[in-house]
Amino acid sequence: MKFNSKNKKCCYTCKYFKNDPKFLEEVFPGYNVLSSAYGSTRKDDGLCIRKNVYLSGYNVCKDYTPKVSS
Amino acid sequence: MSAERTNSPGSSHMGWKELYLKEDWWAVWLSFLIILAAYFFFKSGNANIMKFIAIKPAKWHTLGQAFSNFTAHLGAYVVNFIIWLVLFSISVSIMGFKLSEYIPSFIFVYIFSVIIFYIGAWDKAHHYNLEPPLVALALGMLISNIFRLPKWMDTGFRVEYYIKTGIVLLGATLPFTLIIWAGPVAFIQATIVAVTTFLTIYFAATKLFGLDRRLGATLGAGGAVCGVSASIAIAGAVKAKKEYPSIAITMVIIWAIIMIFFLPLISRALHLHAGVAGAWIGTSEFADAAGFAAAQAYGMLAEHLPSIPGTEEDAIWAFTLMKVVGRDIWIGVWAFVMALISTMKWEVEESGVKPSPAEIWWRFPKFVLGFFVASLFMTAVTASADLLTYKNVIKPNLVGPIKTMRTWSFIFCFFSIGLTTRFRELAKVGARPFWAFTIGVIVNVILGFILSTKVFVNYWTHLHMAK
Repeated sequence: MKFNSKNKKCCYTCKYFKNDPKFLEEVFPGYNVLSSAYGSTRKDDGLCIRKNVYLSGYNVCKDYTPKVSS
Repeated sequence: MSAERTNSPGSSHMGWKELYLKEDWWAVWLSFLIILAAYFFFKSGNANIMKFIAIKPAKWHTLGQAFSNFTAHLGAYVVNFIIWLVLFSISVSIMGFKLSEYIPSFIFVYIFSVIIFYIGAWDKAHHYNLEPPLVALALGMLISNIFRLPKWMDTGFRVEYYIKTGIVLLGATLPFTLIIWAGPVAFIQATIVAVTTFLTIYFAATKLFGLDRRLGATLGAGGAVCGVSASIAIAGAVKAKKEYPSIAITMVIIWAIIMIFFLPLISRALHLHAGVAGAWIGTSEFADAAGFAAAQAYGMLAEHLPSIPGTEEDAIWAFTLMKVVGRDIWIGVWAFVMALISTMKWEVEESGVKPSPAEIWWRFPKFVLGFFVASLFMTAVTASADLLTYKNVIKPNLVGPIKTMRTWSFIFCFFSIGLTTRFRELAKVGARPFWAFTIGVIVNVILGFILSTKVFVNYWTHLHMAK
């Protein structure tokens, strides 16, 4: 799938993408020992919990499922 | 394609919200506040107010003296504590932490930091190698690995936030002329070591041990560029499997902790100049926090042992130039290049977008900007002073209090490293990633040693010339 900036179909809006810094520091043990998920270098990358891949939110794949906030 | 409701927190592109949601920026705002306050009090003839706030223990010989000194200045310690608590609490609350967790945890950190600071002021401390950074680290590790502190206390053990605040404050005590004079050399030396180490780890991982190239890249970034922060940045850039960052994190932590003790020990045995040791630590340590612990420990030794030439500032300045200027600021470039390689050469399926050069800015460690601005500001406002005025007036009344606040921030950081280093919680690492990374460490340490002690030694032993 090609990234489409018009309809914002990307990991950021996918229900499988998690990039909350508290979540990432729990999921990666030792992250907060010598680094931080609240730092600039992480930008806002996150974890795809469907594919267990850590990536930038600008990506998109065929398993994209839109997230609807409640 | 079905849409499902979810309560999942935060999956969004941050953009400029990072100005109040990222630790880097808060380190800048907090430090600027401290620096401007120090300058304001100095210019208005009220330097004593800042010196009161920036309290530190006096040298002591007996426990009675230490106790008397503390009780005599109890008010100052209370004010110092309140200021740190208020500044950090406001910022962490905005970043999303719970104050009900942060405040008690920070009280715990502060109380032990006072004890650690006092231990460092003992006139026999350096004789027994009780440098405050090492004491802080060892004490923290002892507490966290013997006692099980509640997990919520991690909220107050913000290693990176404290070290970034300390580094921006450090900028105010480092002449900008030094950055101009030694910065390019630091960049050249750091780049030689970083590229060599990255390629060593990457090829050891992929060719020698048959590991996935994304794991090789993630490990390489951790060992060569900037520890965990770089590993995480590159992991995101190359779309690493979930376990790869965890493996890299474990390797970085293990070797970073070893290096905190190993590098100063070897430097002392070889009587290395403080500036040379600082530069070597700058290429061999993986994280800013760990590196500052090692550099400051060695620098303090240099201040007290005639057999070690140089000063504490030589060690810290050399380390800062090498690590912050030579390595940290290039994380975005590494991430961009690796993302390009990953997208254009490694992708198996069409799931990638071509990375934008804007990555370099968004991933730039913003606290480094604060470091440069702080240095520029202080250099500019003190430029017209003659050497005598600088030494007798500016140093004790303006630079000194800022340096003390920097030391506080560093102690918070070093103690927090120990408190968060819980070996039982780290991810398991197989033999192949372990040896791929370790081969890189060996190459890194040897190459960094040669460059610091032979090739560029004249720079690192003459940093005071650029003042």
